[in-house]
Amino acid sequence: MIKLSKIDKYYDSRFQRTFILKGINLEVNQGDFLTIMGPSGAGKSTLLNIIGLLDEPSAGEYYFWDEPAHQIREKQKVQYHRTHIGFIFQAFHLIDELNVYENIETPLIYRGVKGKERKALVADFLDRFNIVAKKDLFPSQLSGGQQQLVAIARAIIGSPKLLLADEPTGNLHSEQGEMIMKLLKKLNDEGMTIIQVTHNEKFAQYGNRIIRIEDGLVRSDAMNIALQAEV
Amino acid sequence: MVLYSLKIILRRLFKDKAFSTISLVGLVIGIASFLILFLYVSNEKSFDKHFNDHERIYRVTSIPGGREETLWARSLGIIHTATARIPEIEDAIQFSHCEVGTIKMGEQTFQQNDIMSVDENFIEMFSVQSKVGDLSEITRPNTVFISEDFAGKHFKNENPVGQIISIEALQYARNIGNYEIRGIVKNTHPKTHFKYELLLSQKGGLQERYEAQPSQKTQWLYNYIKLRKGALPREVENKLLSYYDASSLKQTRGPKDYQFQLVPMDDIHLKSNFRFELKESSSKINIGLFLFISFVILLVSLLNFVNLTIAKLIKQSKELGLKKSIGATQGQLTSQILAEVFLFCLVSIILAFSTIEFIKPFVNKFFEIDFNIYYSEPVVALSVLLVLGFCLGLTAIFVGLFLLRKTSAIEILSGKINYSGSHILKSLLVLQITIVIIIISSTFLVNKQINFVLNQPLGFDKENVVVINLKDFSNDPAVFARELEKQSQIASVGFTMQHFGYPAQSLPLEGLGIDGTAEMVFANYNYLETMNIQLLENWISPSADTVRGMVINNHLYKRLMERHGSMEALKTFNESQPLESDQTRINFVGVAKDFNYSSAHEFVGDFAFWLGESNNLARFIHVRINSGSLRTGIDKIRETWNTYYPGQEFDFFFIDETISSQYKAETILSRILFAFSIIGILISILGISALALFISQQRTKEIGIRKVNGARVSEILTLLNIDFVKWVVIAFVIATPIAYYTMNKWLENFAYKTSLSWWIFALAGLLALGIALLTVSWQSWRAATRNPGEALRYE
Repeated sequence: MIKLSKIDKYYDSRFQRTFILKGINLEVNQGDFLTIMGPSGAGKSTLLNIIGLLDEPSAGEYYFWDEPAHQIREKQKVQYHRTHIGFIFQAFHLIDELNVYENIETPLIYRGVKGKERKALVADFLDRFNIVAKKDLFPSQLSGGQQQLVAIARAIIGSPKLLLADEPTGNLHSEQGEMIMKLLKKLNDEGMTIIQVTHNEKFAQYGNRIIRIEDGLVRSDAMNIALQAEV
Repeated sequence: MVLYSLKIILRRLFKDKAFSTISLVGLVIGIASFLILFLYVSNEKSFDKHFNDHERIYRVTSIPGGREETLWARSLGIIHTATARIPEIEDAIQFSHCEVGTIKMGEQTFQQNDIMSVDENFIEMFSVQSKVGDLSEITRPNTVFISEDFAGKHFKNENPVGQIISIEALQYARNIGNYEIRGIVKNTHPKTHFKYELLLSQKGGLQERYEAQPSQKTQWLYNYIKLRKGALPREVENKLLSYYDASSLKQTRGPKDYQFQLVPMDDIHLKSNFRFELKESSSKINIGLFLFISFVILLVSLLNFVNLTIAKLIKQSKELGLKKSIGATQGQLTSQILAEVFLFCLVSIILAFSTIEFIKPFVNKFFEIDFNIYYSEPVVALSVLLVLGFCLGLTAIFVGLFLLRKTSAIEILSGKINYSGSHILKSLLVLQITIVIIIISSTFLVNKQINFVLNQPLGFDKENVVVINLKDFSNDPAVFARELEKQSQIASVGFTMQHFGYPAQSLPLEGLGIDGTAEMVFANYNYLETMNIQLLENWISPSADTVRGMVINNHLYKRLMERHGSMEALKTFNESQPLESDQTRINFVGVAKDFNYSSAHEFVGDFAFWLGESNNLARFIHVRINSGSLRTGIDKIRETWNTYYPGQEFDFFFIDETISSQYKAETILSRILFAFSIIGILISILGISALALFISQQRTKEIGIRKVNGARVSEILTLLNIDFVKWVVIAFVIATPIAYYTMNKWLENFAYKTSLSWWIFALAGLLALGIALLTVSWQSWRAATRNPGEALRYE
């Protein structure tokens, strides 16, 4: 469903061209849980943003749902963001002025979902994530783990096919991190394709496939043996 | 969606109170000043537009030859006779207007303003509406209709109809007779170039005067005509002239040649500087300038607002990026931002209107204008739409330019944009400061010029002179003057028919062998002494009891000497000229040092005093009080007045005040500029302080790092200030030539002008710089003194 071939991303400055990604080839299938690892500045987040249609590659071909991404128009991108892609971030990016309920509701509003349907859907998710009691609290009143929980709820309320997580546990302590990863694993088991970026070896193991990027190049791409062994 | 946006907007407004308040206050000040000026101008422009066919109504003026400089609103009675023969004229009326008359009701005698005598055509042309009574009764002799105001003041609970008003004095006429009140008319529309309290019938007491008008060369009546559609005013003027030229009136005594002019009624309120204008016009106020300044102030405050809005958007940029990532379209984001701006503007406009209602009395007093908002008029709605449109348009343009087009969601999300990197925002701030510097330097210059003009050596001494306006000549004013001179506080007393600033008569100079006319004033010799007008040549024989003859000014003297060479030659020439039966030979008795009779707008011209001793010269009694005893002096004069003229109003003024009132236009201009430099400065302080706060917040981390590395507080403050200093300097460089050019243009209006000193600009620039430095330092102080550990904690 996602295919990148020879993707480059670079910035030109006056005397030299700085590559962030160089010749990335990558294929992701439906139902994959892909972990991208690598040191700081390796280009992980850039890759994720390109996959999520937030950024454009400088060269190469990218097929999103078998559609060439460079031909996708702005309008269609918005549609994909609404129905196909969900994002979660290291810094959660919840809207400070909105409470838990309203934050989860936000994507539905942009999607033009009717009020009644919206209410039912949000109530369902609050229930599913076990945060009904917190629905009137504002982000500043929640712990990091709870905030990320809300962010995940917001990301998947539109039932996207692909969930992109940019260091989802980076700002959390291990216990909360564990909880978030378990949740992601559960979503993957339910059929959602997930691509995550992480530094944490332990959390990387939740993926069924791990690629390592260094200096803009894919250094390794392997099925997660530990997981296979478990199966 | 709407509810959702509203929720976010309101919560954000209350969360960031300081920022919201600053934006709001800046915008309210700007919008309120704009609305005051804009609505004032549109009020002024809409004068008389409520009359049917207002564009076809003209005032007819008649200008005697040689008097082209002082135009009168009143004109010859023959005009009305002529109008009947001119087919282009649909309707013609004439009426009289008395600014202050004396009337008696019951046992009470009092002064009454705005008494007019009219006929049924007036009622029709100016749509006078009756509240009580039948207006056709105005054609009956000795009837009077009173205004609602008059009725409310004098007949609170009784029916005025049938009551008698006795008209004791109207201008020059006395004891016109008793008039019966036949009804009440609605008050004059406030936006009319005249006002009536009493409407007298032209029949009865005034009939004889009206009937005599067509055969006299007096200008006592106001003539108005309504032209037929398509008729050319020029042709009507010509026809009036040919009628006059053919009439026997031309051959009678007085000026031979007249010009006739049609003045569109629509122009009267804005442009008239006629003598005997019915109501004070706004010709002294530069309407165009008002309009221009109003837009400049609106622009400054909107620039400020847009700047702050963008700064706020940068703060929220992460949120915008996030929303994009979850599928918000650009349209949705833009409309959310604009909805916020719209709401903000709407609240500001409402607050601005309440502010205006509150400060209206002060504004009216300060600018000496009569400002009111007529909410039912479409122009109010229009101005609101204008502000909203301006506000939304400007924000949309800049927000679009800045945020949505060029930046991808990812750049926004990563927080890469910051204020100091944006050229658009910098130029917005620079533009704003530029305008403020221009306004400040203009204020300095206008003040300098006014002071310069007021302190010009005038050629006479304007201080400590009281002028009494004498209306009743039944008691000999000479006796009154002698009595005054006995008082120790009083230096001297002089009589004149025209005081300084009052239009002078004109003296044709052909009889003396040179072109043109001189301004001439009738006065007695004591008047020259009272005003301290120096005589360069004095041919008055010291033994003479009374002084009769002409004193000319040095300017005219030099011209005459150029033509004739000597006084003797002039006398011979003068005596060789033919003399009409009612003229007297000019007898030169002296030459006065040049003085400034008119305002500093004009150079000194030819001038002459016709000196005599007759009592009717005492229309304006000038009294010089010894300096230091002004108050007791006035008390003494009042006391003497009350003994000599019992029951008469003591009507006096100071000549220096009258002289400074000639600069009303400039005084008002300087007040406007002063008020708006304050407003401009205020808005800029608000803007700069919000931006400084914002920038210091954005650079918290940088400041922390610098401090960890050993930077001192003073160094941090310098760092934060240096950008603003740069912007002020750029603004100064742009502002100076523009201000220099505009001021040079303005100074051309004056014959005597002050110099455009460099310090005007330097001071304005320094002021702007000082304000910026103070505001920035004040706002950045907290950021600079903060514990660096705290600043660096968040990553």
